[in-house]
Amino acid sequence: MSMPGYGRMRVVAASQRQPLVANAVMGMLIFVFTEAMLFAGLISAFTIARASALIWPPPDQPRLPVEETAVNTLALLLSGALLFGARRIFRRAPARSARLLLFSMLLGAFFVVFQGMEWLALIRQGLTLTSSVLGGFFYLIVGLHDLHAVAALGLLAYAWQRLRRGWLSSSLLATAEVFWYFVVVLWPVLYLRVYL
Amino acid sequence: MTYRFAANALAGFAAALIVTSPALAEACAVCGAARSEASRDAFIATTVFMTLLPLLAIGGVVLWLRRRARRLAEPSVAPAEDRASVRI
Repeated sequence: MSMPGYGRMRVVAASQRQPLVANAVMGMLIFVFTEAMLFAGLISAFTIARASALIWPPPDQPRLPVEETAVNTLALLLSGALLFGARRIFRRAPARSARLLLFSMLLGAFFVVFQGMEWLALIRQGLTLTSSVLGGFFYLIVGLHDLHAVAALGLLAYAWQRLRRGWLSSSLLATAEVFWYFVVVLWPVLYLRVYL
Repeated sequence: MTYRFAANALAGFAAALIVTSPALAEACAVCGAARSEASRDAFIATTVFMTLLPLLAIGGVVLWLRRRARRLAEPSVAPAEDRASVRI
């Protein structure tokens, strides 16, 4: 093909290749990976501190509420399952997934509030950030997880709001999902390691 | 000749320093900490954990991308859901 003043030109067909995964999802996956390594470091440090202690848990410190937190753990796992269900419904009928997404968020909010109440009770009993190695690690690890839970809930709430208004991209929902699943999957590991 | 002897002596001294000093200074991060059997086990377990976690995570993502690429390459799969916004 030739055009005046341009000589011979080749017409190249537009590329048909699609990205394997949305940029937002890939960005969140990388973020989650870095956070996983952060928690892995904290869990490792806690494991070593625990193994090096002569007596564990420290005798003058309150015991962590294992049974109550087990119930809270179930609530968080159920929240993850509801989000999974919401995604499946979103594929077929997006508007119908809003309610399930809301329930998932409510269960997540319940988890965070319950954790806050648990903290208040433990502080009243004398477990603080500086009272012992257990207290220091407990508030650092669990607090960091709660921080992630709050941030992920914010992202889920943003996705829910978009869904309610009528526009929600699949990639945004997937991004929020990746973050929330990270929070959900990480918690049982922390519970087994820190509480038991 | 004197220069070569001095260089060899210096190299030997440096080698001896490298071999002996870390133990004297307990330069290894775990030299002073892992004195009990439980501590040693914890160090080994966490080292394995920290080594395998990134490999598993990156490997998992790569496998997932590979499977996704194969699925999208199939003519029957319509990937529009992943690209377009959904009007409700």
